[in-house]
Parts: sequence; structure tokens; C-alpha cells
Amino acid sequence: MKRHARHLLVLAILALSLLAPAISSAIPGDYGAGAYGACTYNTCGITVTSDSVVNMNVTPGSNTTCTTQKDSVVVTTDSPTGFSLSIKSNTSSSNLVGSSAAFIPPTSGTQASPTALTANTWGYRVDSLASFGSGPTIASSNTAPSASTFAAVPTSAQTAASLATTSAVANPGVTTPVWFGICTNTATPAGTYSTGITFTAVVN
Amino acid sequence: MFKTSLLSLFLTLSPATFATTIQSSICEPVSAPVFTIQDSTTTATTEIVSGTTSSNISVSVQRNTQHIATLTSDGAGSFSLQVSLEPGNNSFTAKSTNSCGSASSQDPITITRSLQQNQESPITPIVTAPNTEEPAEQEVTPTTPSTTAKPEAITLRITVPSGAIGTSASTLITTDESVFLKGMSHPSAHIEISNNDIEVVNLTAASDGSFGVLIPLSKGTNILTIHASFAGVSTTQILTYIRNEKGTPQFTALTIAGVALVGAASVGLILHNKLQLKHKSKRRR
Repeated sequence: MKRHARHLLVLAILALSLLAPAISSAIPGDYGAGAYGACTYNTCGITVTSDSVVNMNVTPGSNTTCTTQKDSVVVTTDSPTGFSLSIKSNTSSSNLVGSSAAFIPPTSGTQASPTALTANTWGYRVDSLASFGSGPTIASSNTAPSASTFAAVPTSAQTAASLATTSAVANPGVTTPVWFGICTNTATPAGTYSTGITFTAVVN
Repeated sequence: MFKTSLLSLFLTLSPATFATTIQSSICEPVSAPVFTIQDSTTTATTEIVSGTTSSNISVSVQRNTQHIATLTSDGAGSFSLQVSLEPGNNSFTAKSTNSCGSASSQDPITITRSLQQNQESPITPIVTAPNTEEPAEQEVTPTTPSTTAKPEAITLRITVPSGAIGTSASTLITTDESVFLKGMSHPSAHIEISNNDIEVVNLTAASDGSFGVLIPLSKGTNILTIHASFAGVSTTQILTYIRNEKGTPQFTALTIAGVALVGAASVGLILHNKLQLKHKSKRRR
């Protein structure tokens, strides 16, 4: 029995020694070519933070009234290949939910085809991303609807929407301004409406 | 290199997530405050400035572009404030602001304070307190600007409205939905008034120390805490109002020894004198 195990061990060592050149050639770059201390995909640390709460207060008048506010999403990583940032809702719907049964649905726009906000809808936009247009978007409260286009935040059941992709170390962190807008009229009952979203950052 | 290595110690491994709340407050439109008094001329040193706006909303009052008080309108949208008058023109403006930060102002009104004595002034001056220690001349002479010197102590005197029926010096019973509190403290003192530990108004006393404000009363017990402070020196008074439903008997005095009940109630209301029955049963024993 012991002799059988010893034979297996010898065979394993032999196989590894034969495969070693092939394994090393599969790793891109030669030994010593990378930056000393640089992390690799599985060891790179990464954090993502934002302003935690985005308040979009509206006092609708006789016409549709809009408010746009910014959330600064900061991603920090020591990955030399950068990061990817995405957004999605925490719930199965992207409605802003109020007390009782009242809610404010998201815009029908998407990143590929964003739309200007209409009455009683909300959405997000990132300047110069996808088809959003360059902006610049500015924070505003209780203004008339603008031509800026917005998209709906994907629900928890949908694929997260990409917000940014980088290819270099992000240390100090890289900030991605994410704008949230809402337009209402007096058809929406007064009250507080909210929903939860999650930003996810992964190392490239 | 060190920075990168250190970063790895504190960062989580991919992926990282962060939850954010998207919140939107939709508010009712703000009704611009409208003063219920108009431009006028008076010889009085104080005046009650009142008006209407949206209900339960913050109202900021300015005199000659200087902020003098922030108060909250009542459920009917009414607000009222006693203000001091400087000689000459006193321009008052009010701005209402809702919880969404939307504000609306109204055109100013001007109350001209004349230095001429006029006993038939159409505007009744507010007597802030009985037994006032202020010299009588201060009622008609220009008030001096408030000092910034730190006082050793500051006074705070609250006038009990005549409409309330009190059972003690600090507990009053009323059926009114609000009470107009008037008082006297240090000139330009900061006055904070809370009802059952909820702040309802904060304002600055006039240059003669007077202040006045309409306080809404809820049903039941209303513990009004009036806190006056100036230059780090403060004092507090507590006044308890019990607001009863209209028609509730309100006893003005209660004498146990003589089993005498003196009260006021709506006509036709039957008063059950439980106290007297208990007294009789004790006698039987």
C-alpha cells in the first residue's frame, strides 16, 4: 500500500515538472515585468462609497416641476487594470414608494435610449455616458422640465447598468457623478417617497 | 509602493457594494404670508403683527431687513408675533418656508411709530407684564440698542393671558386652541418656546426685551417651556396649559375644607359633584 502511494507521488512530481514551462508561458508578462507590490485580480482591494442619501425635494406648482441632485460615487482600488461600476435597484421595482399606496414610477428611458423626464417620473443620468449626452448637468430645485435625458434604474431582477469602466489604479479614488432627477405635478400626493439602490464596483 | 500595500489591507476584495437611498419629498405649495394688519401709524412701542399663510409652516419675520423671529403657523395657517417699534418707519416682511425648502414672501407693510403722544391710538400697545420694573418713560421714548455685554443674570416674565382660568400660578386651564404668550426678558434675548418638549418657536426679544407669540395648544396637557438666553446666560420658565373641550366645566377655585366648588361651564351642563358625595359618605362612618 505504502509502495503504491510512493509511486503516485513520484508520478505527480514528474507531471508537474513537465507542465511547468507551459504554465509559465500562459501567464502574461515575464517575471519582474510588473510593478512590485501590484495586486492581481483576486487580491486587489476595492471600495465604493457615495453620499448615502440623495434628497430630491419638489414643491410642484401649477406646471410640472423638477428637481435634479447629484450623488458622488467614489471607487478606490489598487488594481492596475481599473474597475467597473454599476447600479441597480434593491427591490423588484424601481418605483419611489411613498406612504399609503402612492408611488412615483421611473422614466421609460434606458441608457441606450434615455428620455427627458415627464411629469411624475424619476431617473438617473451620467454625463457623457452611453446616449445621455455631454451635459453638464447642474443641481437644480423646482425648475421647469429640462432637455436632459434620464434612464430608469434597473430593478433587482434586471442586469445592473454600467456607470463607469476604468483601466488604471484608482488611488486616490475616482469619482463618478451620478445625477438623479424627478419631475412631479400636483397629481402626486404630498409626502416622502424613497427607494434603495446599490452601487457595485468590481476589479477589472 | 507602501501606499498601495497599505491600501490592500483596508480595502475589501472585489466586488464592493454601497447602498444609497434615493428620497424625494413632495410638498404642498407655499401660500405667501399675508399680514392681517395694514400700513399704519402709531405712538405705541410695540405692535402685534399677525397674518395667514399655509398651515403648520415655518414663518420668518423681518423688520427693516433684519430677521427678528421664526415661528410656526397654526393648523389654520395663522401666525402672530409681538414686535417692538423703532421710531420712524418699521417695515415688516414675512417669508414662509415649507419642509422642502420652498419659500414665498409677501410685500412689506410699514408701521410708522410717531413720537407724539396720542392716547387715542387705534393700535393698542401690549402690556407685557404687571409690576414692570421698566421706567414708564420707556414706553414712549426710543429704545436703546441691545448691549452685547454678558449680563450676570437675565429676567424672564410671562404674562398670563386673561382668557385662561388658572388653578395655580403656573397651571392654567382653557378651551382656546392657542394662547398668545407675552413676556419680558433681556433686550435682544433669544427666546425658545417648546410645547411638550417640541420646539414651536424661537425668536429674538425686542430691543426693550419684550416678546409675544401665538402658541397653538393641543388637547390635554401642554407643558410650555420658555427658555430665554443672552450671551450665554439663560433662564427658563415652565407654564402648563390644560386645554379642555369647549363646554368642559372649568373650576376657577377648589376649597376642600368648606367643600365649595366654584366653576364655570356651559349652560345646561350637568355637573356631577363626586367630591361632595365622598364627603358625605365619610361623615356616615
